[in-house]
Amino acid sequence: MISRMHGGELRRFLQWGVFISLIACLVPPAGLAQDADALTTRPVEVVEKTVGEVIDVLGTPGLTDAERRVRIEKIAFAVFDFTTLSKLVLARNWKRLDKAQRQEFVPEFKKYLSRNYGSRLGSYEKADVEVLGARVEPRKDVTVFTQVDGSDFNGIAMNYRMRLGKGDWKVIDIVIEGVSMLANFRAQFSEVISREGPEGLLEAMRKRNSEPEEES
Amino acid sequence: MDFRRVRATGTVAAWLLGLGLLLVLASSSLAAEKQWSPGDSSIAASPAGAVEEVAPAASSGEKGPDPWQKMNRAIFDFNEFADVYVLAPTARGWAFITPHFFHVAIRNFNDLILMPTILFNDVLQLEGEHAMQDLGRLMFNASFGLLGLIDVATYMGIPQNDADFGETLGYWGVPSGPYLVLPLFGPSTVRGGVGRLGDGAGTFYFSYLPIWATFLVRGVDIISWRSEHLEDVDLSRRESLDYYVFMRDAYLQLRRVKIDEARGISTQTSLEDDDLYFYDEFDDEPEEDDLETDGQGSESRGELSPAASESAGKHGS
Repeated sequence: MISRMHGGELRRFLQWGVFISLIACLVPPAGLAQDADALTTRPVEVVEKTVGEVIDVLGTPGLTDAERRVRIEKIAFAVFDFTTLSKLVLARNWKRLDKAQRQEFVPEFKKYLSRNYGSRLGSYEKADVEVLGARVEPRKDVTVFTQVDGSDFNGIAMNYRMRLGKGDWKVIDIVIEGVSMLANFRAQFSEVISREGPEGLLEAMRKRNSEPEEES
Repeated sequence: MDFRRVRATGTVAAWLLGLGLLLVLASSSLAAEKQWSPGDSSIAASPAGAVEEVAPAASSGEKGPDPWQKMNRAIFDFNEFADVYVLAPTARGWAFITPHFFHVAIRNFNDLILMPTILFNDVLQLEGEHAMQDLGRLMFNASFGLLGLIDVATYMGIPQNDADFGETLGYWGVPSGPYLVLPLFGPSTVRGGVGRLGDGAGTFYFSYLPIWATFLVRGVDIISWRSEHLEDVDLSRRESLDYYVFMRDAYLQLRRVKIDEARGISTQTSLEDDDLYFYDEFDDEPEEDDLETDGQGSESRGELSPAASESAGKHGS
């Protein structure tokens, strides 16, 4: 068929061919990009919703510090899966905890985190958070990139590592200016465990959690 | 006049020494890194491949990033002592007698003194855009900003970069070496310590002020900075289970991210994914899936003697 074409027809045929194959090349990447968007939609929603709720609570006038804390804990506890978080933070050391110790560690760690972040809440007043984007990580985690506007933390990059679990996306790490909180806790805990064993870590956390909290 | 000349030759010598060291270290590491050659045609060429960084996370805790832990902890304790009994009280007093805007002015003034060194490092890191921005900052802040007291460049939308010599060394592939706590200067690595020497020499060489005044400005800025972070530091000290490790890990993570950024590797998180986010698949028993039972855990407390739990731990690992 091609052999019967005139020169002009052949050229046009080739031009169309090139054009169509170019389009064909372009389409799949676009499709993939959409897939990536679809994968990150829900985690981004979860971060936006959670952060929005926290900011609302911080902006609500007339709340005492304690009331505020209770409300924020309720919001925050919904997006953290503390069992997964505990496993991640202890990593290989998780195996060194027996069942009772694990059962104790998870709530103690939860309490420890909530105390740590609770005492810093004051610094976030008048903050706004802007979601800059998201990225699909290996093994289907998603990182949501955000930036804090205003408050003491103006311009700080805060990234949330999200993992799908128990029906919805949960935060498994907060990375502040490139510093992973999970990694930081992990380094500390592994140090304590290597020196004093799992019971030493639990003891240290119990002690820390039972200290009276300072009003911020 | 003589004094100035002596000072100039001294600082030039320091820089040459630093540069010589840089070249030696860089060439040795380039020899090891064969895939990248200095004659690479692409302009944006940053040496490909990861630098040999100290891994911030030590899973075993024995050696890992910190083989000199014993010495480091001793220096760290000394620094803590110096902070708690000298720097922090001074900073508290300083915060009491000076308003916030004054701290900002000092910071800006100090930034201007540091800027030529930062600029120099931008150039060494082949960061053309950052170099232009920092040159702009230098010019606008020195002139319209009244010798740096006002940071007009930020109002003009010129971002602030900070590059240091340790980062430059890392950019050119010099490994970080072990973690090292410097007396009074705090967390660093061997490479970071060398970098500090280079930056210090650069600061005094490029400073338009006499040495004593440069020292004074740097000193006041440190006190000023500390006075703005009284609460943060207190909180971190109180909350961390091991403040020494908290600082070490935060420092190593931050450095790794900064050097990756300079080398154009976008990691966003500073750790290897497998390192951080994937515990070994410890065949989870289903009943362990949710241990988030507040309060219940505390009942089992004390049932296990430390010895028993220790042996259980050994068995587990």
